[in-house]
Amino acid sequence: MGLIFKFVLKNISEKKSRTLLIILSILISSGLFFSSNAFAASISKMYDEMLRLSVGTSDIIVKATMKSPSQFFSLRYAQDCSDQTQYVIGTINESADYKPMINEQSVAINLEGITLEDLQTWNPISFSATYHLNSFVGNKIIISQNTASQYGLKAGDTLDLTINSNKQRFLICGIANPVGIFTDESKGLNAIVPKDVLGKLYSEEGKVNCAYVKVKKSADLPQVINSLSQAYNKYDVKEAFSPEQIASLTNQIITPFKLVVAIVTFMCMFIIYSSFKVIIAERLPVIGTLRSVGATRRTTNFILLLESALYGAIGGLLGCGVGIGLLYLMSSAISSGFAQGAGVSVQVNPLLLLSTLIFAFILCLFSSLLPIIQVLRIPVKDIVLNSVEKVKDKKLINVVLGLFFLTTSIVVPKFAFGKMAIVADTACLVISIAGIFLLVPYLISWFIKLTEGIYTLVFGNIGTLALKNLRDNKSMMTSLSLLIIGGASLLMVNTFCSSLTKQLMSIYVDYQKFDVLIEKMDNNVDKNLEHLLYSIDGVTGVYRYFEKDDIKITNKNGSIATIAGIDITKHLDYMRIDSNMNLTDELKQLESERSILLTYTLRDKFNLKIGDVLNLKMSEDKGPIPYTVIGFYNTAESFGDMALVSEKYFQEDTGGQYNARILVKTSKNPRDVENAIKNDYGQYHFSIETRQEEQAGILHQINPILSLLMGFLVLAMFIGLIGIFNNFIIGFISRRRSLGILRSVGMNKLQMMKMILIESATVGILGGITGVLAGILLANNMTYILQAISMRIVMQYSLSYMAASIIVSFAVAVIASVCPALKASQNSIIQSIKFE
Amino acid sequence: MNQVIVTQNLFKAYTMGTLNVEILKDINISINKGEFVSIMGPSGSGKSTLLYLLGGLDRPTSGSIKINDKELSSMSDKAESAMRRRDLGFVFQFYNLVPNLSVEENVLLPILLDGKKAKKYHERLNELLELIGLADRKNHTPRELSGGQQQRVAIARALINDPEIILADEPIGNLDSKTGIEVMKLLKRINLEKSKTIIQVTHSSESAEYGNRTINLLDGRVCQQSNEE
Repeated sequence: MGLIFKFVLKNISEKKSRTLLIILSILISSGLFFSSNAFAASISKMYDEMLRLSVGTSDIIVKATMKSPSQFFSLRYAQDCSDQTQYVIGTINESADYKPMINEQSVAINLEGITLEDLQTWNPISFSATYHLNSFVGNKIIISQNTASQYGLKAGDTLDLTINSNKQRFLICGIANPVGIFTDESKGLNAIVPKDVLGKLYSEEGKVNCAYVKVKKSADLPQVINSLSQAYNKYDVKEAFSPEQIASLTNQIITPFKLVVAIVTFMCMFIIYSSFKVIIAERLPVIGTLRSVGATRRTTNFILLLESALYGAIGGLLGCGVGIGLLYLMSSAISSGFAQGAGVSVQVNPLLLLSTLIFAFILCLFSSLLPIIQVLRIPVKDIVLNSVEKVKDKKLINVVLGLFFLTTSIVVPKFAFGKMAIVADTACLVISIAGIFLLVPYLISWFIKLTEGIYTLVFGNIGTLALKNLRDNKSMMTSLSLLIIGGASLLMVNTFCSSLTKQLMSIYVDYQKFDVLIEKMDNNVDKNLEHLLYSIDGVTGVYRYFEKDDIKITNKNGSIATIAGIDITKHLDYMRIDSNMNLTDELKQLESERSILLTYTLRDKFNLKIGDVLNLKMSEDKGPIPYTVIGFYNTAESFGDMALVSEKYFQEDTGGQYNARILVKTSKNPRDVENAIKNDYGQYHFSIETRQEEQAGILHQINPILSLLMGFLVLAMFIGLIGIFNNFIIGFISRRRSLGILRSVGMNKLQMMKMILIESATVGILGGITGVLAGILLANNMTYILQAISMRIVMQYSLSYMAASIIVSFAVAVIASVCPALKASQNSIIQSIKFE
Repeated sequence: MNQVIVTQNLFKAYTMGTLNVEILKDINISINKGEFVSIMGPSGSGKSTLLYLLGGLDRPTSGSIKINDKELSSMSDKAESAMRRRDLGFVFQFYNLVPNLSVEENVLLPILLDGKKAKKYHERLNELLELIGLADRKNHTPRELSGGQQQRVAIARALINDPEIILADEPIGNLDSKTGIEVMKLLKRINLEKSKTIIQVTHSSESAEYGNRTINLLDGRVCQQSNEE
């Protein structure tokens, strides 16, 4: 055993560059495997933390709606569930005006009225400075570090606020660190005052306008929501945020990464597989010797498998380290984008580390298994005499299988619906790559047959020879496969990134016909504001519509990301919708009955047709309501996971539990209008952005993700490039004798260089063109996979990128062959023809 | 008689580590047109090295080799390669065929490398394939042929450009005796019928008997030259 181990270790250490290549392949694929999986957990955690910034540790929120008899309510009904709840904390959430200086514009501050004890239970904060904080009663206020530094305030100072038309002076008793509700103040300043003070000012002492509930056991959550919904039937009782919401957000980010990991893994498997073929070819004489002295087949297989396992172990261990590093990089990038304010949350799960090691083992063993099995089939006599037939005949089954895989990967996604769609579409993506690999030898054969005449005409006989040298040339086939898969992955990810950016930007350029968006308004503000806005100079049009997220379809076991309740007379003036149908009648029908217009994405996701009925759970306190599907349309909003119903039925069925959005058209600079609205109506709580600001915000969010995705791919390309270079070198070493023979029968050095360069240029161009075609196929598959997770991305292929891809492939192949070609031309003819 | 190959004070040495090993020492031979010369000698005597030097596959350390009055050492790589294509034909012990090319393509290699149109040589190709008895195997690859068949393809390749000189390094060294005799008879026929000058390196005295002169080497020197006829 010790001897075998020593033998294997010696084999590994002898061929340093090949060992490096195999270990790098395992390291990168296992590193990406770890980081993408851990990233999913980290994103989920970050989203959880981000969403918890405003809801604290609570599980349920109770709030007033437009239909509530009063904005304020008592907590006593909630106490009925006390045996199932850990806490029920009431707060009064109102806004105040703060005028830092006379003649200066006032600033809206969001006031959270809560006791200090409740605050530290619900959404704990810490302080950088305090002043008589021990008794948080009376006109005391806690402000953020941000507010303090912005207005030169410190603990012990006073702050004059206008609340509900009352001027009040508050003593700053605490400057809070940027945690909890103070973490992200990009959309407005926050402050905390005692609940009783706000209760008095609104003459609602003992009552609250928001309640946060935490259950003792998460299993009790539905029951508690149900009890509270009955107790507060005129109020909005909802889960603080649902795990499905986080899963959906996480999936949209992580799926492209997982696809890249799948492709990288496939590429690495191919590199390991081709390296092992060389290893086994080299080991055959030794295996023969071992067999001849009595070693069993099991022993020789064990030697090969042990070598594979050692590569897996080393690569896997290093991959875990690289994966952790990548995870930190990815988490920092995401926290500056999507999950802004949540901070870096790195989840290094020991179980995942173990899974990564197992993944590395399996990857290496699986990739090396085929060459090992091929050795098993060789008769002992042939191994001993080293008389193994080295070239296998091309099998018809491969071409049939390759074409079948390609056809399946094109056809199946068109018919895959529902929950199985993601599995089927991902499988199709993988088999499309397998199909391409199977067809590569035939591709070369077909190419040679088609272009032989042209090559002879253009390059003379040397061109013909170069072309013929590609026939059955395994190292060239491997290089070609790597160029194809590399080019295809680059094209796929690049097309995805640019299409996603273009699509998101097209929302602002092509779909939105307004200039300023107002949302996140306080209850009942929207209706008043809609009318008040006309008084602002430069406002030429105002349209208010409603949205509700995550609507469950009870008869389809799924949900719609966003349903909008629209005013059919105004909606098309403010938002563009595309459809193959003329939707005039359908829009009218929305008004006359409970009907719904769905996007094509949702049609495909749920396999729907006109006339189908969807039972929609529009509100927590009402059962599912049937809506008839009357048409389909396209939109870039919500990645196409959206539907339209009429405002009338929307309001009735949601029971006032929705978000209002006000779209404003302007005749003046939208920025000036935005400032004027803030100035005149800043006392109302809302979020306002011009389209340009929103566009910039979106870019800020997605750019880090797209950069990371490209980073993933760059790593993959790095290993692919090493694989290609290594392959070219191996190819020239294995062809040394053939090249010597050509020299011996009269080929001069120049002719040899020319032949090699024509060969590699052909492989480069062939790889580039096929890579582009394969890239289109992969991108097409990716579209279906994304669609299955409710992301409709219309892939937009760039001709210039395709041309660049072919040029890069050509350059890589030529550069990779220059050094070996120069070396080959310098080799002694005698040494070369004697080379085995 | 026309001298097609003349060597003068030919030396060849290799550096092996720190040692300078002299393989050939002061070789002075001349070979006439139409001769069938066998170079013989024990292993390590330098006979293959001499053949490679004569064929321009290797360069001498010093001395001169003239092929048809042209000095080999002063030739550029381009001229030397052209000479290998047009004036010389090689037959090696291990056949040295390009494995991924068919019989036809292997035979036509010197033509292709010479930039000539292969189509113009189809008649000659068929004639040679008839001569070597492999007319029905022209689309096969070397892997699909026996050792004897491969050696015959190598002979056809050596003849395709109608060179004046054929250099054969142990042409039957890798063949069974029956096939070896067939190959030697073929070379003899080519020597007689086509008036080709053949120089073969061989261990076998039976094989040397097909030639009309033998040059014996021992420790890098010509120790004996004998005329068989």
